[in-house]
Amino acid sequence: MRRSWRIGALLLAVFALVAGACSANTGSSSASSSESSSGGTFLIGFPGDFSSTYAFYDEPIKEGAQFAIDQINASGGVLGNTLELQALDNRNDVAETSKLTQQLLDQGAKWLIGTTGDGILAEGSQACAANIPVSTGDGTAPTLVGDMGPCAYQLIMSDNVQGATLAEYAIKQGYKTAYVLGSTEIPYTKNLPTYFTKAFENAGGTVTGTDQFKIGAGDYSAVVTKIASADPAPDAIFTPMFVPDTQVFLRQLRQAGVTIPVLSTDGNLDPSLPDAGAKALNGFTFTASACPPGPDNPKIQQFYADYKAKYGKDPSSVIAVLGYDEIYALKSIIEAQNSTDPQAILAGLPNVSYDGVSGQIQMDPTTRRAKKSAWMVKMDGASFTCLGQPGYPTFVPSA
Amino acid sequence: MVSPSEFAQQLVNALSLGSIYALLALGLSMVYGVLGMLNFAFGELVTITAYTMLFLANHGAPFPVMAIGGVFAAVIASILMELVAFRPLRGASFVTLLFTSFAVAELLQNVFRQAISSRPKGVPVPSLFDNAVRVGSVRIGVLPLITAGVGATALVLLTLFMRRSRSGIAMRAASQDFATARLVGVRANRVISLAFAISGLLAGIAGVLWISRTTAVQPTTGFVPILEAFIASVIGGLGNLRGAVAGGFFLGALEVFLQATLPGKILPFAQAVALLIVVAILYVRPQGLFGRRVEAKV
Amino acid sequence: MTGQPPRPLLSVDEITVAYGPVTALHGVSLQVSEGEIVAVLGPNGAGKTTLLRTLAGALRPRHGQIWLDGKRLDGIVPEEAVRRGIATVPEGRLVFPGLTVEENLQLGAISRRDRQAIRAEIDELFSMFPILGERRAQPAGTLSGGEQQQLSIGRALMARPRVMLLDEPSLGLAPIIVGQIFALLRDLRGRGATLLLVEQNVHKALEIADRAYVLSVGRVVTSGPARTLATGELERMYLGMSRAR
Repeated sequence: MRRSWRIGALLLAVFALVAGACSANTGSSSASSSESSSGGTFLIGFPGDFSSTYAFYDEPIKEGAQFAIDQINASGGVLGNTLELQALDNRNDVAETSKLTQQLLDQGAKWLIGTTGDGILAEGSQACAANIPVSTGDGTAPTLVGDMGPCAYQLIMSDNVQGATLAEYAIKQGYKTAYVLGSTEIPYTKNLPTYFTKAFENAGGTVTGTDQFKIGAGDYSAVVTKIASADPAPDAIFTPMFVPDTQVFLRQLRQAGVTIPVLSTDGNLDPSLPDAGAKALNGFTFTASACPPGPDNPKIQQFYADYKAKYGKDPSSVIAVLGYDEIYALKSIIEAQNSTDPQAILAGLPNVSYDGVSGQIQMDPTTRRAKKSAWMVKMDGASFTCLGQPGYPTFVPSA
Repeated sequence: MVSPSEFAQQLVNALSLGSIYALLALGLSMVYGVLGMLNFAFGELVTITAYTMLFLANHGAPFPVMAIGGVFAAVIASILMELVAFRPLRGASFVTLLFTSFAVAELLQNVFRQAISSRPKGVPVPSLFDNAVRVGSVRIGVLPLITAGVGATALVLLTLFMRRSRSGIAMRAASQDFATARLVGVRANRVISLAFAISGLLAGIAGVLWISRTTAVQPTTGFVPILEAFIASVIGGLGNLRGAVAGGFFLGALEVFLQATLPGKILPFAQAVALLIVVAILYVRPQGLFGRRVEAKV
Repeated sequence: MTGQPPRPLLSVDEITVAYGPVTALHGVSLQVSEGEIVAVLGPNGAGKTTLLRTLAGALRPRHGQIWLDGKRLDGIVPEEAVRRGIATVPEGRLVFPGLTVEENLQLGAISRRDRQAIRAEIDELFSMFPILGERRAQPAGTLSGGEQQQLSIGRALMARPRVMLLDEPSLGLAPIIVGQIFALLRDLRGRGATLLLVEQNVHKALEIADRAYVLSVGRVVTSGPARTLATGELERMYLGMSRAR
């Protein structure tokens, strides 16, 4: 999902002053080394955010990963090794993430799952300094692997793929012109409009208007009025807006009598979206890393059924399948390399090819990003319906 | 470039947004006027309104009950906030009270995060709000109409209360000269509680209107309202009630105007431009558009 | 006046008042009887305003007691003092400039509940001060100094006080206006009001007062009937003291 964003404004500085007085305990843990032969334990580290802003993403990743590990261990482990997940809460604090990452490396972790929180770059650079492979977790920004370091790999759909998928979809629907609404405040909302525009124009579409929105503004009436007055009216609107802003925007847009279809991205797969009401949401289409369970995506539905059978409840969100797939992809690498050594895993990562619950993970060795297709979700009234996985786009703009 | 109907439409947008800002600025100014303190936990009253509406909705309450319950909760929370957090510090310095209010805001946000969720929760609102009426070539949403109507009614009723009622006169006196008001017989605790109650009432009404627009609540929901209220009341002159209303409408109009006219490349800086304009106003008129000189309080 | 000494309505018993480490009043005692005008005289810094602020509940005595009609008055808050019957006409008048003349008067009656009587008394005040009646809807800030002083006194009257405290009512007013204000005070006494008057204008104060106390550096240095004190001894002493300071 999206990368760190903050309501960066003057007040927060003062809040920080007030709240900042409390923190900073530095106890160094001195757990040391491990042995990597068969019959041992293979430690997977996850310094994730399980209590703050990004717990919504990291928590299900943890649930899915644990589910996969439990399954694998129950059937004998990998090459005779038992998998173990150490998930520690970084509270979305960069310093804490850094500390926990080091702690996990000291304990002998051989694989790290990236946090969605602010500390991901710290986690990546520390992992790479120790030459331990690290994933981007639920991070979709295509620039992440470059920023984290040479040992970082993205096993999920990237943002440029989302943009290209939506552009192809738009062309297929017969939309020739589009109005693009972005925000330069964070990389996610700044880059996605570019990816979409490049792919849309490459496929023959024209962007007839662009505008900027403010994240968390609570009011988009002025933006909406400009769209309503756009002459000629565009065939479609693209925006990487996410909840809870999407609800505001869509309602104000439909109130203004604008019926132009709206295309958006994975920040909208959220249980709070439907409260915007059927009238505003109907037809709203967006990409996602995975669809909610339903009869048209039997693999995910089966995942939910199995999960519930084991734990007696649903995972906290469908994002759990990404954590699940990541562990199984790791297992396939270990088996292909016939080694649990991190260096062997790093050597095998560029060639990983694994068909997971959320789709085919086909690594591109040059970009270190999996060529993974996006899913598409369309709102039918106020309920999510899955349009499936349209396939990897023929043109994907560079990161 | 901007067509007449687009202009009319933006005017409605500005009025609707402005009336919410006016209510918020008035709520913040009300307490500042009487007590000389800036209550930065004011935004959390909007959040409390929203969570109360959510709670009532989950228990099957119809929207009017949600709205009234939300406003009621904000009033109670505001009075309690003063009793628990600010009354023990009566007479403390401006900075002490300011930081106390930050602490209250931070504490409440953490409570929401731990007790409810750090994620946005959807608050259902009637689908009627999504309808629109057509006036000539202008399409006006039902919600902006209700917003402007409720906002205007609340402002008129509050003006009458402040003008006509004994409590209103006492509050105005207290905001002009607190010590002398007490010498005349105005009960300090009562007038302060009343100021917080009205402040909560305004936050609650503005909160219901705000949530009707956003249909979602999260622990940081109060951030934008308090920021806008603060800017609007500074524009109008802190503590000046008429100024707060004017500042609110001015800010609403300014934001809509900038979004409507700034070229795309500058738009990301709209907030900065708005703040620059505010700074320019304050440079020319340090006491705000309608402000009077700052007096010592309590 | 009858031959019997009237019973003291307000009794101040050895009060000591301090602002932090600085003691402003050292064991001050005084009495005010029903229907009396009592003047408190003394140079700047003698503690006169401190005395009034303490009586009005704005300051708390460190030692000593204040009694009003047999009830303890020290240690209560200003708004409670008003309800017990102490009304203040503060130094510099301090009307509420943003409120209208009429609202200022209504505010004076904030401690009362009898709305009908309040209405009638406001009308009565307007006939007593016609200029205020003419300007009833104007903000008090637009009045002249003398008019504001009338309003401030009227506002205090609206509380129906047992004792009215006046702090330097002549300060900053033209001599002719001062004359009018003192005539008004004498008139009030004629209607049975009890006044405690702090003044620097010794002559004027002694003209209308029944008794007077002289404060110097926080102590009562002399007191007695105004007539006696007015004969010159006080003035020599008072002025002498002022010079000595």
